[in-house]
Amino acid sequence: MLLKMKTLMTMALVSFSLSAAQAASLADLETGRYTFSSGEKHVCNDFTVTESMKTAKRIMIGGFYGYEILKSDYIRESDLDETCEFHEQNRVNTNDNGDMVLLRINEEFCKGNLRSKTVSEATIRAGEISVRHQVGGADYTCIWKK
Amino acid sequence: MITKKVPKLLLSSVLSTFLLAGFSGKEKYVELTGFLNGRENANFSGNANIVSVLRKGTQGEIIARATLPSGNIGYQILVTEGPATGKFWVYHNIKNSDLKLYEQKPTKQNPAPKETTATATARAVETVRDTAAVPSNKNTSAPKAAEKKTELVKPNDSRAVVEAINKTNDRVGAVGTLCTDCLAPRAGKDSLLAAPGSRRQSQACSSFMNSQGEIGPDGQTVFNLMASEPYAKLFTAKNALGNFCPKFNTLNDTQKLQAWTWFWTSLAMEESSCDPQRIHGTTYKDRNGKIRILNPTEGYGLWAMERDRNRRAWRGDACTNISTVYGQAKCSIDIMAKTQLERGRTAKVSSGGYWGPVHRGDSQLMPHMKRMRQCF
Repeated sequence: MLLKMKTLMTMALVSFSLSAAQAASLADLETGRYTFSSGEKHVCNDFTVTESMKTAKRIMIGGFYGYEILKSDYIRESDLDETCEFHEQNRVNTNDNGDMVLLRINEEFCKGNLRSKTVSEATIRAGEISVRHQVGGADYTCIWKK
Repeated sequence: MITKKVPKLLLSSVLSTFLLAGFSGKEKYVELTGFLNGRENANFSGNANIVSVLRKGTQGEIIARATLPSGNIGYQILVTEGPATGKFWVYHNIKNSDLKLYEQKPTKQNPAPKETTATATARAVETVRDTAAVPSNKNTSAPKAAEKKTELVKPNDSRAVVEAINKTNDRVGAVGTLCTDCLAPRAGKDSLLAAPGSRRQSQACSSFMNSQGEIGPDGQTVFNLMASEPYAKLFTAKNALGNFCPKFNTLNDTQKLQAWTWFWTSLAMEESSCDPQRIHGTTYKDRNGKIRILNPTEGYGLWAMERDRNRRAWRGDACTNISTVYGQAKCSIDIMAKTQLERGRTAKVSSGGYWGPVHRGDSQLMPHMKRMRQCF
């Protein structure tokens, strides 16, 4: 019963968050091939920005870093441990320089305690995309230039 | 001595009477249109007795039925066609069924007979959705029911049955030449695999394929998944395994999927030593004690899928649940299909693929793959 209520609450939260979400636009994103410039090379793959990515609701940068281009919140029960659940937030912000900043936060809670947290932030400028990624005590960047 | 024999005889008589009492003689056939665990007995409470995962379209003669304490039913079926043959027990939940029940057996004239909800008079059944099948010896949830009562069914009309079953199997079969003896040991030069070279495999990998080239129950699960739609065409397509199997195009479909099964075994060896519960960390400390990045995302299981369910949600239904070997295999096969094979790429890519050992194929996977005799 508790599990059903939890599932209903989860669904309600996801539904509410998505309905309240406002999709942002990547219309100014420059298309083309972005190549690694600096950072942790083995986790910063080169990638291509295509025209379709400019209107996508979700983009993948550098092979590992995915962001939703809207405000969204998800809570999903773990399929691996029934005492755990995964939380995710996606946000679209603008920094002081007027650059678009995509933020994604992933957390795992087990029995109410935070087990792990990942914060990933992508900054989109003209001709340059950078990611700052914090996970497991590591804090590193990837910078790609067109 | 006598005191031991009497209870045995008594027990035997009581059991015989008990087992035969509920025999209706009407149930004869099953057909599966989803994946189901095939078990060696009617105990559905654990995973240790799972001997195979039966694929969609499998049909078999019902040779016994067990009424479980919950009121649900277990059917023992004899499968004579398809990648997994033999006798298997399958589970039928009467309130939330994975099976369709039929009043009549399928025949040439009537291959899709009228459905019924009455289990007692059902003559044939068919699954209506995929079931989360789990392999042997893995701790996952399963229907909590124990063996209670078995009703034997007299086999009659068996030739017509098998003929009808075979015809239907032919109709639904995804790959024309699937193996019927995948589990058969092949010794010496007939073994699928040559002797191990520099890179040996973990004992745990034997559940996929052992060092004699014998496909185990988890390997059969992988094999069956690749043989099912929509994957079969992709995994048997020209050059699908790329340089990992230079003779791939000369192989028949069964041999191709055997080679692929060895590929997944090798990849599981390199990623996790074939441990389905392995957690793949994100960082490590270098010699100076500095935390260094290993993976941007924590991984899980045999093939290091994303552990965070939110992070793999975008991959779709195939990756919804990776708590079992079946779930992990389905997710990984789907990733391979969508990120490489559907895009015209082969298994061997140097960038843009999901798995690091695939990118480093020559040093990590090739020593394993070179053991697959039919590929080289």
